[in-house]
Amino acid sequence: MSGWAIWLVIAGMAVGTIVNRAALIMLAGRFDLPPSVQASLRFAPAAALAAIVVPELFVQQGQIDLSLHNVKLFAGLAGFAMAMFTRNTILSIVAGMLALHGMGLLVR
Amino acid sequence: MSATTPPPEFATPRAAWIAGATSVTPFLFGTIPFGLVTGIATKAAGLSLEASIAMTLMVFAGTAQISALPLIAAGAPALVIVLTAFIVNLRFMIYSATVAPYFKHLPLRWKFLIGYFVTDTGFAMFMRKVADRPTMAHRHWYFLGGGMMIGLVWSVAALIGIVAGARVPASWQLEFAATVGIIAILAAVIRNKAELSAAIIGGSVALAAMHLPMKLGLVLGAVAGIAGGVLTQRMQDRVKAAA
Repeated sequence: MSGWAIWLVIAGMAVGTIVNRAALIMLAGRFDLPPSVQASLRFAPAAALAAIVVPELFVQQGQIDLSLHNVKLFAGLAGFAMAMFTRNTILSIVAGMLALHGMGLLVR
Repeated sequence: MSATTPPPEFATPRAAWIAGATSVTPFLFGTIPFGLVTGIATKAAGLSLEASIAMTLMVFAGTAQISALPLIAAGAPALVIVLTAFIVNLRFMIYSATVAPYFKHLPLRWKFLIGYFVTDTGFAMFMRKVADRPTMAHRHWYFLGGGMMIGLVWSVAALIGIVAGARVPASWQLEFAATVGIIAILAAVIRNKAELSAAIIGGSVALAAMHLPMKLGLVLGAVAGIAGGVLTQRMQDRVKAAA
């Protein structure tokens, strides 16, 4: 990513985040989110995080790769399993990184 | 004998701020490593030191930042990255809609300050506090105390992570820590069937649409996932109503 593009991304993310955080507090009384919209926003984190991470794990070099050579897929699944069992973010990251490097050694 | 109003819980703004800041301290054990990982992964994704620091202090939202990092590393278009971070952060909109009635009386600059310090933990502790005392005196100072404590500790941890990340060799592949971090947060936000279906549909549509230009499949996946979650919830409600 070129020099100015990253600053554009940072500025855009900063503005987007403050809109999410502050807009409805500042507009209180003049504009309130309809309850139906509020109810659907509840699903945004699960939907968006999955949309980011699934292609990240399954696609390598532009192709869906389910073979053992796709180390990231199995490292990600190890992290997910640890997260489901322990609910601990740091343990999950440690498990994922260990799996990434451990399988990297085996497959290579 | 007439009913007397009880004395306010917090006599001064200072007392309210300190109580708010103290309320989040048990959660700092999670905030510190999360900040460290965010910082390390930011540097590992190839951002310069200045850009890493600016992102931490200006965006000030760990989940959105670690979600953006794999996209930045893959060279996704700026607009798609910004849009993705926005969708990830939509949960803040629910928080701010929920707390807005408590701060209606404040001047606009105070509302902005409150908004800037909306955090997952600070929100949760504030709601617990005001549940049975909705007109608590100095409640905005209480909210600010929680948000500022989380924000300060997270930022310092992230800055330490950025400096530390710059010293780690690329062969450690620490940028993958961001991906596993997203996975762990995903596991935490899937608490029921509707949220599970939002995730499954979001992930599948993003995968199916991966060849769309400009990584738009990602945004399409997120929107489809939200719609899927809403539909699942409605179907469940209908089944419940029929039973």
